[in-house]
Order: sequence, then C-alpha cells, then structure tokens
Amino acid sequence: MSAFMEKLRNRPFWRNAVIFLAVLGPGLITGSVDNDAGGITTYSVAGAVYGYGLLWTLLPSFLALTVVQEMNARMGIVTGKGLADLIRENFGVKITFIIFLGLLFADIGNTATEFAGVAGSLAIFGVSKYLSVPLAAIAVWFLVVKGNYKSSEKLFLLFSVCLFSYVFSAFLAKPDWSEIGRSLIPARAHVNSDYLGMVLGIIGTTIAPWMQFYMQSAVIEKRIKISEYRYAVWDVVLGCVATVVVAFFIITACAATLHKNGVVIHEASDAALALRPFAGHFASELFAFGLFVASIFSAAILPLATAFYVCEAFGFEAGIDKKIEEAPQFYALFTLILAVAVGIILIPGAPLITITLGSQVLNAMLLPVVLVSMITLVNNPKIMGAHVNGKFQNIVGWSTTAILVALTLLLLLSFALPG
Amino acid sequence: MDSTTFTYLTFFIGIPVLDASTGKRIGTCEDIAAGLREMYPRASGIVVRKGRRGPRAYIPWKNVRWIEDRRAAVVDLPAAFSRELRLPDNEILLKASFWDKQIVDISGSKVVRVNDLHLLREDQSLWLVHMDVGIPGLLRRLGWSRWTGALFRLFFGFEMKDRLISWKFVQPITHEIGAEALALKVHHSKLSELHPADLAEIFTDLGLEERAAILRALDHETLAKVFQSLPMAVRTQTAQQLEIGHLRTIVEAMAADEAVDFLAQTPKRLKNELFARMEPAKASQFAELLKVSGRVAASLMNTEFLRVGPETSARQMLDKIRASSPRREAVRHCYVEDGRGLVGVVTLRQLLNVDPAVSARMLMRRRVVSIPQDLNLRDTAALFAKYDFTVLPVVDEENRVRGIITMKDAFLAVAPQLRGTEDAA
Repeated sequence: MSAFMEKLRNRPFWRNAVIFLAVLGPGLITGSVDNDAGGITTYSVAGAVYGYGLLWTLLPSFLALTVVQEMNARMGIVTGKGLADLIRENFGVKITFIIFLGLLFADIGNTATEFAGVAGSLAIFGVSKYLSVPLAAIAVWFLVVKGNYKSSEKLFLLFSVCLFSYVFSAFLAKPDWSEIGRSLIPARAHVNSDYLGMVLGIIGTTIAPWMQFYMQSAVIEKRIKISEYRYAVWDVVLGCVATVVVAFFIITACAATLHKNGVVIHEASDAALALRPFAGHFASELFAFGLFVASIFSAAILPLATAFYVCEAFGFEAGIDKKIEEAPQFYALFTLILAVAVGIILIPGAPLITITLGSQVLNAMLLPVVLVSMITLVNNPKIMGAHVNGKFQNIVGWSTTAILVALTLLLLLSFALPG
Repeated sequence: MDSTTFTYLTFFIGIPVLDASTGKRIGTCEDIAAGLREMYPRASGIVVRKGRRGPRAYIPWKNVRWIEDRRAAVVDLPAAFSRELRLPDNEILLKASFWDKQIVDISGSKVVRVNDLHLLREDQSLWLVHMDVGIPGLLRRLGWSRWTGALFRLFFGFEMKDRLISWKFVQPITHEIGAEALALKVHHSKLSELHPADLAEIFTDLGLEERAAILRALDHETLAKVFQSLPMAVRTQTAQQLEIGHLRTIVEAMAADEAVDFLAQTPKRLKNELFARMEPAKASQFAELLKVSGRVAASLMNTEFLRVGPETSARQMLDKIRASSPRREAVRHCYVEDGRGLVGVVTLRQLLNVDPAVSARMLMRRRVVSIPQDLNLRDTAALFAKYDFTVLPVVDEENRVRGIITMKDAFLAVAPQLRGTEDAA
C-alpha cells in the first residue's frame, strides 16, 4: 500500500488523476442532469425541424455553460455557502422570495416534464404510464429517503455514462458528416418566432436556473478545498463537454432521419418511435432508453434540489440526513413537488404541453435574474476576496445574460407582431 | 410615552427622518446602531440615508428627539453626510449584522437564520432582546403580516406564533462589518457553553467565513475537541484555512489517535511542516504511531496514560493523577510495571479509600486484561464487549504498556457509521 502511494507521489500525472477522480462529480452530474427530458425534447424537435441547421448553437451554449458553472464551483469552494444562502444574505427577503417562488413553480413544471419523459420512454417498451409513473415516483422517494450524498452520487455518475447511448443511436442513423461539418458555421439565420424560439429553447435548456443552485451545493457537499480548485474546473469542463456531446448526437440522430424524411414530432418519445423505420429497432430502443435514464435521473434530483434551496433561502432545516420531525418544511416541499408533478401526468387530459411550455418560459425569465445575482455576488470582493471574476469571465457572463434577455424580448416581440 | 412595549426592527427600517429645526425630510432610516456594553444591546444611534443610494449619516441616539415605529423619526442637527460611515467603537449596526444572517442558537445548539429582530421599547430607550427566526418574521419582512395573519385566524383559528431566541442564547458569527471588528465587539464566550460534538455539527453547517470566526474565537483545547469530532473531509478542509502555527497547537492538543488519523490524511508538505514545528517529543511519538497499520489495535491507542512502579505510594499516584492534563482520556487507572512489564493495575476508586502510604504492589489487581498491540480491530472490540471495560491497556511483545484504548474508539473502529453520516460511506 505505502509502496503504491510512494510510486504515486513520484508520478505527477497519476497523482493528478487520483485527486481529479476524488473531486469529480458535481460538474459531470450537473452537466448530465442538463440533458433531461425537456432538453432531449428540445434537441429532438430542433433536429427534426431544422436538420443540422441549429448545431452551431451548441458552441456558444458550451462556452456560456462552462463560464457560468465555473463561477458556481468557485463561489461554492470559496464561501462554503449555497447560492440560495448568498442570495438571501446579500439581497434580502423580497428579492429572494420572488426568485424562489418563480423557481418553485418552474421546477414543479420541470418535474412534471421529467415524469412525462419516464411515461413516454417506457410506453415504447409497452409499459402503461399508470404503472410506470407511480413506480418511478416511489423509486425516487426511496432513493432520497434512504440514500446519502455519496451513494447517490455514484448512482448518478452511472446514469451519466448511460446517456452515451445517444452516441450509438446517432451512428445507427448514418448521418452525413460533411454536411454536419459545414453546418457548424451558421450560414443563414432566420428571423421568425419559430426559429428564435428554438434557439432560445436550446440555450435555455442547456443553462437552466435551478442547476446553478444544484451545482454550488454539490461542490459544498463534496468539501472541495481551494487547493483542489483547478480539478473542480476540469470537472466542470468535462460536464459541459458531456452535455454538448450528448445534445449534438441527439440533434444529429433526428436530423439524419426525421428531418430528411419530413417527419414532424412534438415530444422526445415521438422521436424514439419515429426513428424505428429509418434507423431500426435497436436505435429506437437505445433512444428510448436514454430518454428514460435522463428523465428518472432528473426526476430524482429536481424535487430534492428545489426543496433544498428553498429551505436554505428561508432558513428551514434541510437535508436528506435529517429526520422528518427535524426538517418538516423540507420533506413537505419535496413531497409536494413530487405529488403535484405526478398528479399532473396522471390526470387524463391534463394540458401537458401548456405546462411544459409555461415552465420553460418561467425558466427563461428567471435565468437572467439568477445570472445577474450570480455575477453581482461573484464580483463582490467582500464575499469572494481575491477570487472575484476576471475580465473574460465577466464579458462572457454579461453577454450571455444580455443575449438571453434580447432573445426573450425578440421572441415576445415576434409573437406580438406576426410577420 | 411612558410604557414598555415590544416592537420589531422591520418597523423602523425605511421610516422618514425629519430635521427637528426645519421640519423637513432629510432621508430615511436605514439602520439602527446599538452599543454592546450592557446585558442586551441598546440602541445608540440611527443611520440616515439620502435617497436610495445616496450618502449616509450617523445620528447619536441623544439627538433623536422623537422616534415611533411605522411612523417617523425627528432628529436634531444631522451630522455630516458622507459615503463612508464611521461607527463609534463598540457599536454594531443591527440590520447589517443580523438580518438574513446565520446565528448560533446556543439553547438549541444549532444554526438558524435571522428573519427579524424583536426590540423592547422603554420610554426613549430601545433594546435588542430577541432574534426572530420564525415564519411570521419572514411575512413581516415581506410586508404581509397583516393579511396573512387575518387569513390564518380565519382558516385555522389561531395566531401564528413568533419563534424568538433570547439574545442571551445567541452567538453572532457574521462578519458584515469586517470579521475582526465583530469578533472583537461581541465576545465568543457563549460558544464554549456548547458541547464540542455539537459545536462540530454547527461548524459543518456554516460557510467558510463563519468557520473562520469560530476558529478565531475558541481556545485551542476546545478547538482540538471540536476538530476531532469533525468529519475527515471537513478536517482537511479546515486545516487549509488555519495558519500553520495555530494548526500545530490544535494537533498537539488532540488525543494521539485522532491526531495521527488526521496526519495520515494530510498532504505530505503540510505534514512535514507540522512535524518541523511540533515539540520534538510529540513529533517522534506521532511519527511512531503513523507507521502502525490502520488495521491493528495500536492504531487506536492514546499514548497518554499513567505508568507507575510497584513501590509507588498511593499519595504519589494521586498526585500524578492531579497533575495530569484534563484532556487525558483516562485517569482512572495507574498501570503498574516492573522489570517484567505490566504486572497490575490500580484504580482511582481504590486510591480514594486507602492509607496514602500504602504501595502500588499492595493495592494492585494482578489479573489485568491487556491488548497485544498487533491484535486486529474486530478482536479488539470483542475484548471490550467481553470484559465490559471502558479502557484497556495496549502492550508490546515485552509486555510493556504502550498506550490505552477507550471503548468508544474500539467500537468506532468496527462500526464507523456511528461516527456520523459523512465518514461512513
């Protein structure tokens, strides 16, 4: 054992690798939760409608995502406090209340979307939603009540690996690689509400407001030290690469098959079904499997993270290591989010598409607020000391915020003024 | 006004401030300053701000002619307005220091977030008496207390109760005005009323800045106890925050087994630096223990114990016990050794009831259960279960006592999940 450690010390590469593996987790998991049911739906529809035409949006998304999550990691490491804590302490009760009320509603909608993903993907394997959704909810409940951070992290990392099933289904769809290469540089941008909505959708689904809270809390739970900061940055970059790679292959799979043949889809499970005649049973099932994994993964994290940061902001006890009597608000919120989301899916004829759209609009409206709070906090030397943002981080951070606000306004405008 | 009433800080923040001589509005009340000389902090001045982001001024309480919550304040001759606010010594700003911040609730030994401050008004004086940490405080801050209160009475038929914590049981850990300033102004004596294990739990719940405030506030004996109750990951994280000299005193004050556990997890450079600064005797003792495999009894042992010769008198043994350091885990036993090694044990109870002149040889129990130093952990714990002892000596091949093991350490070694959730997985 000690001989092994001795060898390790003399080989900087392996020593770095070991520390990296110890720090690995928060970034990769956050990046993977990113590709949830809502994300997969957006990417599938984008691929089906615009073919390879929107692949270019992934590059700026990647840059923005990396910069934003690095800020979260840095804030967590330097302050040891969650984003909700910092917002409450520095902006007061009123702003905190508005942000978290919005996040609560948006996340109930998002959780419903995740359960819709569970229902849709298992329907392809012939399981009724009246069976799959309650069972999934029970599994999620069990994971949260019985698990702790370390064991659930391992499970989540396994989930992240499963998401690579999309890479295989894309290859089975036999895409045109030279056309993909050309489309990475945007040749012509359309200015109409559908196109703008899609661009905003892709960026919005890649950078969701609640993830910033999750990311920062995960870094704190992991007790990452300042001296390990650079490894945490690698973790963030790896997570963002995973996000974008998976998104790339989903768009590619749908573009190579559905777009080519003019198939119109509305949901991710439609995409899995529609793939069957063009890419075969196996590709279709891989796609559905990926959707299932992504949905249940996010359905586990979302209600938990939401309950956690709402409690954090308002000073209630929170955490899965607390008993129900010790943290009643936390468990009540968690159960409420889960129950409402499952209820929405199980009520026959519930306006699912309206709810999905509504929560996405809420997400898009909240994101600039959360980003502005974050950039303000991370530039405050009283909080961050010497670790405030550099020029590059501020340029990317502020321009991401500005672009998102502009896109949102443009989209609203294009709805208001048709043509 | 000649009465005692309770009110809240919320009702003072943002009220208009008027100049007594002209009757004109000069700004709004942004904060209340309070002095810390008495049992409860007493209002000593108000901070007036012009506009939303304009310059501020500090007005001493004696110049506040009239102040009424939810109404206004009338003041004499405001001091000069400026960008930089200077507070008199020994005063803190109530809103900036406490609103939305975390405090340690000593009576409940946990960390809570302050929603509002409960103030006592007596004639012209205003005291901070309670921290409001309940939901009604939140609603009050949102300006909704009236209609939510009415709604609650209507639907549930009772009043929402404030959750108040007396100032006497509050330990501020904030650093709004600069960590040094507040740490100097409010003494941290209250924290030492908590059990080190509770303190460790609180410590883990806090941000790094607040942890630093606690690290500065406690003496190194208490810190050593807190430190050894922390999960290992938090221990190494905290070690990075500490100045090396300070860390050294803490490590030296820790029980040997805990100190060695910690050193084993410490990066090589830091470990070497610590060793270089430690008392040589400690350093060589820790270095010796570090070599021991983590799977045998010797890795659990503490090297502080009382060793006596067969001819030592009861009086001498009692003196030794009195002189031993208070953190020594077991002073209830004196181990008696002669040329052949461990031959007996004398307990504190025996010593209390005998003639001071009698020797260890006469007193000692000769059948001593001891643990061979290379015994594995499971068998070590089994020995404790079998004999029902709280402390057992560890002996080497020559039957010399090397250290002692407590029941707690033996059981934690085989059931690490008892230590807390974090280190278990």
